[in-house]
Amino acid sequence: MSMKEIRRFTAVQLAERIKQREISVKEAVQAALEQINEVETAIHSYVTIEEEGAMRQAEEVQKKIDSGELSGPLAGVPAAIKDNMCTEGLLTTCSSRILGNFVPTYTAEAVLNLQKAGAVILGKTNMDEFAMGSTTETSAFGITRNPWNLSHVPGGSSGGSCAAVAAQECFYALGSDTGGSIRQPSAFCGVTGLKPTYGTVSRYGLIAYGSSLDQIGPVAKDVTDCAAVLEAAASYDKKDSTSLKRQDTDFTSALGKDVKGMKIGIPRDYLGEGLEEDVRSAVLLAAKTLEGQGAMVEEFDLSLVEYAIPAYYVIACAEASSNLARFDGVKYGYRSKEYEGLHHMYKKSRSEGFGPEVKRRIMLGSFVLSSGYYDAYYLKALRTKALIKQAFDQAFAEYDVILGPAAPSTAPEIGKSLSDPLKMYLGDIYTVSVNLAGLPGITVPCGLDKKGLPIGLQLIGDCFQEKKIIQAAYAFEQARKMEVSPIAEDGASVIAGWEKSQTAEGGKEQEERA
Amino acid sequence: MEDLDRRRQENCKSCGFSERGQVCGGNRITDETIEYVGILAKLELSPEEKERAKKDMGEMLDYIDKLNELDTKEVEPMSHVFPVNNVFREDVVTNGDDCENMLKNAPEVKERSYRVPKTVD
Repeated sequence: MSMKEIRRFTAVQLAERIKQREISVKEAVQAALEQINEVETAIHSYVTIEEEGAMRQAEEVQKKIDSGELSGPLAGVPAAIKDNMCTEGLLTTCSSRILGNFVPTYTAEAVLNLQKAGAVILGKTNMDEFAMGSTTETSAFGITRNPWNLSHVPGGSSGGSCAAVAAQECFYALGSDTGGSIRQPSAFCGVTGLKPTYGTVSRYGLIAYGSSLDQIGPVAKDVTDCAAVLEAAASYDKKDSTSLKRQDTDFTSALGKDVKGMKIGIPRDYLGEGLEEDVRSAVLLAAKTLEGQGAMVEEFDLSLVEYAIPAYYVIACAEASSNLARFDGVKYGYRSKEYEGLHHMYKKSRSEGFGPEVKRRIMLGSFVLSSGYYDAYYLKALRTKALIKQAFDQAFAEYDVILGPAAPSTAPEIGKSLSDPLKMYLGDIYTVSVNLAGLPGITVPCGLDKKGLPIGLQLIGDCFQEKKIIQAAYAFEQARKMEVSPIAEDGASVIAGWEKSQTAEGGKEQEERA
Repeated sequence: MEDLDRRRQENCKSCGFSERGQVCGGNRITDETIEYVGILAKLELSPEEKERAKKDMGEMLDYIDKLNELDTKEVEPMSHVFPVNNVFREDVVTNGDDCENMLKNAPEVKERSYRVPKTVD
């Protein structure tokens, strides 16, 4: 089998071929590494590529498969991990200068769970610095490009994970989602991403941004892979005190069930002002498709939609300012070269180590937590969060699943977002409320816009109802008729011709980035 | 988003602030506030960064003020979506001594300890 053919398999398909001895784990790893070598200069999905380590892991995993010790649906499949999850002995930077040399002494629980399921870790994927951003442009180690169109961003903050899956540089990846960071880049890159119910996947070893909102989840080629990866990653973990003891983590059992009689609600506010026409029509067409499968679809009023973004940014920034206080240049990470005394060392190390977006959020967070403003901003946001949760509770009393877009537009052009942060934040309108209410959400590709960029359909479930959104997403995926890879069947990718244009425009782009 | 554009074209009613492309809903951040927040956040900003931070923070707070439209008098602040209470465990050490490995990440080390600038005279 050719490397190109191997790369076209989904994770579950690949594991099956490995089990049947049609493909070795080593060949699977080589197929991914070959693609990384081919496209990485153009796309830059990875911060760190673990070439030798991956080959070593491949041998170990192959032995365990041969001996029968490993037989699960992901055994031997090469995967990528977002660079905010600790990996023992492997550089973990959070795409920040302040962690530019950080090598963890332990591995995040979610990653360990995947390794137990037979994952081979290919490397660590690029992201917005500390997961703060919607474009992967705030990374201290360079931007990632959207594999569908290299002049566009992949979304963020898990942009590297999503681009890597779309460009066939891995078979699946882990991302993290604090306000949409799995679902939005999945939509922009035409891949499938799932944010689980808060507490489903352990956050142990995930470098914290907004702890009450952060959740790790899968980014994959299809719904089946998403369900399988989530099933492997989810676990109760004593080391994360917000981890939940769930018995119902057999997510793959929801695959293949029809949606006859399922009640699906579309919030009217999700179709309103600011939504691009192509996105609106693709999402409504997807709703029609599900209706054609027997689901009952109707529009309804989900209140408080416009209050989710301000509440989210207060809470997320407040938590970030507290969480990022640990980066002080003492125990690990970057320390400034010149300083006078301890406090100046803290200040200088942090000021030189953090990028502008991270500083912006730490400042805002420090402000809303400061005495005199705490009640007016922070507590007000927590009260709003309670109201938003109530609004969802009411909606889920009526509907099994809420359907809408993942983002108001498709992927923006590189360099167009960061100059106007507030405008960028408004792009999170359909994703942040899900984090505030702790709900599960999945995005599935549902079309392309006029520019040929992917559009994502978002399905939101009530707490613990991942199975319902997986069921609906799978049903839609089966009925959907569209090509969902930027890589052509013969393996030709969009990067063909890129290098030529790069030499012509390279200088200009470098300038823009600086 | 169109709402934002519209607001940006209007002058602030309370202070008449009308710099192009900016919104002012009354949250004009002073130099003192930025200094104070810098101390809380342990960040040292350059003069340019300070100006930018004033503008960005003011604009964000104007936007956040939208929350005041909601009556939340009777609503309890929700810090956690599930009724998860404190999780306790026995206070016993379960992990081994990983000192050597952990110190490999330290910017400066002295005798199996982190080295920092002098903190007390």
